[in-house]
Amino acid sequence: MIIKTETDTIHPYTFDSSNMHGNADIVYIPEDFDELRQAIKSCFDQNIPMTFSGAGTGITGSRVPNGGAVISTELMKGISVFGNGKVTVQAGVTLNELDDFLRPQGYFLAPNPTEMNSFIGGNVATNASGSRTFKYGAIREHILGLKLILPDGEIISLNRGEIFADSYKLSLSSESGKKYELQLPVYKMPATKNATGYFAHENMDAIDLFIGNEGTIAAIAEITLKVLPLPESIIGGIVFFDDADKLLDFVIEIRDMSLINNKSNPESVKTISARLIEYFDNPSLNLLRPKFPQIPEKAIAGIWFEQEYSTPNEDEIMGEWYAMIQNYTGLSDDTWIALSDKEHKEMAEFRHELPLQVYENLTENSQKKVGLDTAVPIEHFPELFRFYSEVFGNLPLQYVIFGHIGNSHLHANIFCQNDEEYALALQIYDRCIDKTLALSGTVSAEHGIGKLKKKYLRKMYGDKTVDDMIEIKKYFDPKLLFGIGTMFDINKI
Amino acid sequence: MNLLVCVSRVPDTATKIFVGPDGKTIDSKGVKYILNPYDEFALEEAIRLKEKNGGEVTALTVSADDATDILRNALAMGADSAIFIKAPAEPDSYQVAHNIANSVKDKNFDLIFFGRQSVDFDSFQIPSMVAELLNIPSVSVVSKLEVNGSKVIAERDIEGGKETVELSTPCAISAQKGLNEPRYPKLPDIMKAKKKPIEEVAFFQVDAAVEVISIALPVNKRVGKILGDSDSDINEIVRSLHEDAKVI
Ligand SMILES: Cc1cc2nc3c(=O)[nH]c(=O)nc-3n(C[C@H](O)[C@H](O)[C@H](O)COP(=O)(O)OP(=O)(O)OC[C@H]3O[C@@H](n4cnc5c(N)ncnc54)[C@H](O)[C@@H]3O)c2cc1C
Repeated sequence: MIIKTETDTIHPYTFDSSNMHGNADIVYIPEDFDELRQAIKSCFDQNIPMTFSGAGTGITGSRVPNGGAVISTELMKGISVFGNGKVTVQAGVTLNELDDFLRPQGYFLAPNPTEMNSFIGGNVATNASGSRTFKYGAIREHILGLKLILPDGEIISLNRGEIFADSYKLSLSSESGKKYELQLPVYKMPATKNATGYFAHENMDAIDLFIGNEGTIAAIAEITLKVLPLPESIIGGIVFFDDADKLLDFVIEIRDMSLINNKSNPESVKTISARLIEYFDNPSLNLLRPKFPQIPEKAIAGIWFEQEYSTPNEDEIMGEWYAMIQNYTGLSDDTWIALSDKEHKEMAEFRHELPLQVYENLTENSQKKVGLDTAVPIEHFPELFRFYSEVFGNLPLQYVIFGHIGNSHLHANIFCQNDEEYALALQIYDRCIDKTLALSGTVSAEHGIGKLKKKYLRKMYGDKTVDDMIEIKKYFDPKLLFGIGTMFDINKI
Repeated sequence: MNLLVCVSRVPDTATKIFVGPDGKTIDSKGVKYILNPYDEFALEEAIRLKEKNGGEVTALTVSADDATDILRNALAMGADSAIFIKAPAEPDSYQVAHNIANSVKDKNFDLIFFGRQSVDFDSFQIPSMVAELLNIPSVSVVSKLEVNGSKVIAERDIEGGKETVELSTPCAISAQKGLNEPRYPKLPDIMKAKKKPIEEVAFFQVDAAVEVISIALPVNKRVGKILGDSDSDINEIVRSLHEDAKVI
């Protein structure tokens, strides 16, 4: 185990990609499961608060420590047991490393969160999702097993499909035989992608409680993931639009077709069946224009799609897409297409460049940013989309809106040069949250609550539900040592 | 203008390469192939000349493997037709050059474009060999090109500066990065490319001039570890030198 105690070596662990900063007294870097458990146990015995650290790519301040110890999983890089569409990894394996391991064997992890340097442990802790979540769901749906360590060092191993709640009552036991009986919070989760608070559902699988816990009730040591065989062929396209209303109609049409066709066997599909549908607004395109001169001058927004297909159907599928695109935009002939791996990589860079630019804008100009991560049920999306264009259309602030439009989930980021602008951005943020909640949506679809969105967790679920969640936290972590300040306000406990 | 672009099919720069069991060839299993990146500059330049002056662009490749995929890429960028010469076995540069020269000698191309090198075997030989076999002038590593009628002015990158040369058509040009910004593949062009003709031409037998005796991968360097000067890092250095490297 590596232990860091000098201020300068601790410093890199005291912030994340949100630009929030904290402090810590010591950093533990265990190299295997036993050392991880040992670090937790020794902090527990000395009542030292613990914040778990993944790659620090989170954007809600969740891994930013509030004093005490940071426990980093960066050296837990084991990949073991691969076969039958399953792979078991330690928490510190990055998405990139997993992909490098799986790809030569013909497999991939389906959801595809954008930040490939993030750790699988961090992804599980935040229930991360990504562009392909449109077809494949969030990472939750790909987690088959977890090996967890509780604050007192007890080990719980869970496999999906083995332990279920009886209505809202859950019974678990640790490897040493300690029994856990708990009452789950009774509340209704939104019908969207969601990364807010503890997952709870009637008769739920026990494993789901720990996915998305943001390091507040259990350390995630090992993860068994479901992985899929790589598709035979993939077509990717970036379609440019000259009219925002038509873009929305296009999205609804291809989304609804895809939701049906994605259920069919890909070999039989000869029409539109997208696995991802992503959006870029005009300010996003402007951020990308210097690096990607292929963006047409007249474009005011863009859609990126990808579809898996069987090679013999290529001509028909391409024809269907072209006909559909021609119906909705005057810029159909500028549609950029990727078929080879190299071209797909260039297209993925196009998409990834945006959050990077957003982050760079932030750090280089030491600006403040307000970032929305909301989603609404699909039937309400047109209303949210129009609301956004109304609110942002006249905003005297710099902003970009992009993201997972297939999932009715957009990231709106507002950049602020000074306190006045920041105050205005927060007002806009609150208006968008209120609208999202009025449309039965979620305040965080994928980034989690962390330390920056606690207020909105209460707004979304109400005091009773959040207090019930705190009971769960206290049940597993009675000394209140894990992830202090994340998800719940410490004063409220 | 009658323009030819000679292209090659090379392993994607991101693929991991393994040596085949004979120790002389690349194991192509699991390798993804792409259009040689330098050839994209050559194609783009030829297509721009055609768009400006009219005429036709033909793409040509000599390959032991089925290379119609990269010819389709060239057609999608804007070439009008393609020629595929299938070699019976991995050809050397001399055989490739002979095949190109032989198949185009009666076709009156004004300019013959190449990438400055193909990024697989890096032989750098083919453009000059073809020019020599056709007895036409050639200029390599061109980063700027101007064509006025039969007069061609080419700028080349040389050590620490630029060289400008003048030559006349027909001639051979090898393209350097920076010559232009290659266009990206567009949906209608890809669909049209599927319908453009690819002519198969029989391989012209000529003996290879060089023989590959062996190829090998570079020896993997040991991965380093970066440590700072904090007490814990110093402890780690001592531990590592003692336990991992076993030198103290
Ligand atoms: C450019 C960019 C693009 C992004 N794109 C996406 C995206 O497409 N989808 C998405 O969902 N997110 C995205 N994010 C956010 C971020 O990448 C995810 O939240 C990711 O899951 C965080 O992983 P991490 O390893 O960096 O975790 P960290 O930021 O280090 O930690 C996040 C939380 O997880 C906890 N944690 C980490 N490891 C463990 C463990 N082993 N046990 C218990 N708790 C642990 C931490 O305590 C903290 O609460 C993006 C961020 C950036 C900067």
